[in-house]
Amino acid sequence: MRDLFSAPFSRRDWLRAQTLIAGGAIATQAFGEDVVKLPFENGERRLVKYPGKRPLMVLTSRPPQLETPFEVFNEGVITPNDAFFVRYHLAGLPTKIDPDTHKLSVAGNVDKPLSFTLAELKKDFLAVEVTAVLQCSGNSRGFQTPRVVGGQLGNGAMGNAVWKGVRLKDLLEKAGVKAGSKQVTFNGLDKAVVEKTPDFIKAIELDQALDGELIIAYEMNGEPLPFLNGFPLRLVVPGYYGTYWVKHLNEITVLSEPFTGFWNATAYRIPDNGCGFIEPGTTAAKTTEIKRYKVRSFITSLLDGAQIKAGKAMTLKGIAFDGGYGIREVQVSMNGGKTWSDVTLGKDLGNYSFREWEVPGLKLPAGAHELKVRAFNREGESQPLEAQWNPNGYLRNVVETTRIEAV
Amino acid sequence: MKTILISLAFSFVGGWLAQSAPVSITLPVEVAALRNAPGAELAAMHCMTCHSAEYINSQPSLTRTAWKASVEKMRGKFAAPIPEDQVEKLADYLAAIYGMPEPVK
Repeated sequence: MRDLFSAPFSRRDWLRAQTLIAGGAIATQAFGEDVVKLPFENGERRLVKYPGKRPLMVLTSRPPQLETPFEVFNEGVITPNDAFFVRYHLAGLPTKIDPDTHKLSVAGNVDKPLSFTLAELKKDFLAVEVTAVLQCSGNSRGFQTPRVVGGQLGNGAMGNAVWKGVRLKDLLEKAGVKAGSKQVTFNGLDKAVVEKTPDFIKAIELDQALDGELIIAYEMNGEPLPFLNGFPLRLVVPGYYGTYWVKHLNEITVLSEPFTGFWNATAYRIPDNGCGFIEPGTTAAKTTEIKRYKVRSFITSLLDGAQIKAGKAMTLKGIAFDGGYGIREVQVSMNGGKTWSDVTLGKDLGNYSFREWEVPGLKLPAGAHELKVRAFNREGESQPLEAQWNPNGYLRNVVETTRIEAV
Repeated sequence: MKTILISLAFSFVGGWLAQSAPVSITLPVEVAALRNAPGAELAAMHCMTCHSAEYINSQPSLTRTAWKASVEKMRGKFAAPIPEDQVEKLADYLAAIYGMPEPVK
């Protein structure tokens, strides 16, 4: 495998930096690309076609971070591969991978360290499928007030896909996890530009690694994983924020002690107070790792600011999801939250999937309307009416409001 | 029959080639740039080693204190090779170009 971007800062980087300034700030307009504006300060995003993708909103180009335009979520309950969001942390991502020679190792505190090719995984292990939402920890960060530093995402750093692969449990059992093991780490081919930048490695508890829910996926929606979504293998952690879903996976390591690496011990942490939110502008006394998705729901058939025909029947549609208990109920309000009514839930594709919902035959009189949607999961958890805050802009799950006008 | 054999042979070779070929991608050319002002070269050299300009351009307006904290985070936690004596200069550029006033106490 070619070793990419492992060189430290070089003269070439300096020259590139010079060129980029000379290019000027207006360069983004010069290529005839479409630019969309997310509704917050500095929310302009170029729509650019990346390999394997339709034009998506560019949050950052190096490393690539691409957001799904929200209209896509009204196309269907499954997010198409070419519209699925992309998020890298380190600019040394691979750009060339040979699926025949790519290997996944299982090592560390095991009886028998093993290594598998993609073909071996497909041949020697049971194939399983799960329909699961993948959502970035910082999805919707741009809407948080007061604003915080970080990837300024709208609501499009999420997607729902059918993931097919092998169970992590089966690989670990084949290697034989030694008694007393604590955690398992996952590393992919992406590397930092500067050697000392912490490599993107994530850890999970051993119990979770062995619970049978986690998958090493090689297919997404019936096709090989798109390159920018982790080709040829990625970890799928249903119900858990995307930070754990390591892409271009090549190393699984069983640890006898808890992992102390940067991406678990320092990054991706939330206030350790049960809800993960604190008073805006304050600092958490104690933090913990981000884990399961909070309950969220969205209207997808109408975008904020839409105009509709007064008195004309329409079907209001949307999606809801949670961290794996499953959606029990969704309610909508046509009057800014004064009264709520139940909706019709769509097909149940499993506890980790988007759940579609609809209100058929809805007619609204002329005037401005404030539509809201909220979901409840099978644990009775729901969404707050007022937006909550934490220092990293994680976990946002406020009841969304869609303001429309019927004319 | 001959045609079938040829096409079979062709698809076999084609299939074999397709299977063993590495998959590669070419990322679009990077066009985002820092706003040009005194200090931009310094910021380009030290910030854009690891990431593109949108990491800065897309942030909300931040106070100098917040920008300085960002520079220190990159230098400390992410080991960006920024000399200590450049931290204030970088914070000055970022706060001047992408800044907002400090809150009044």
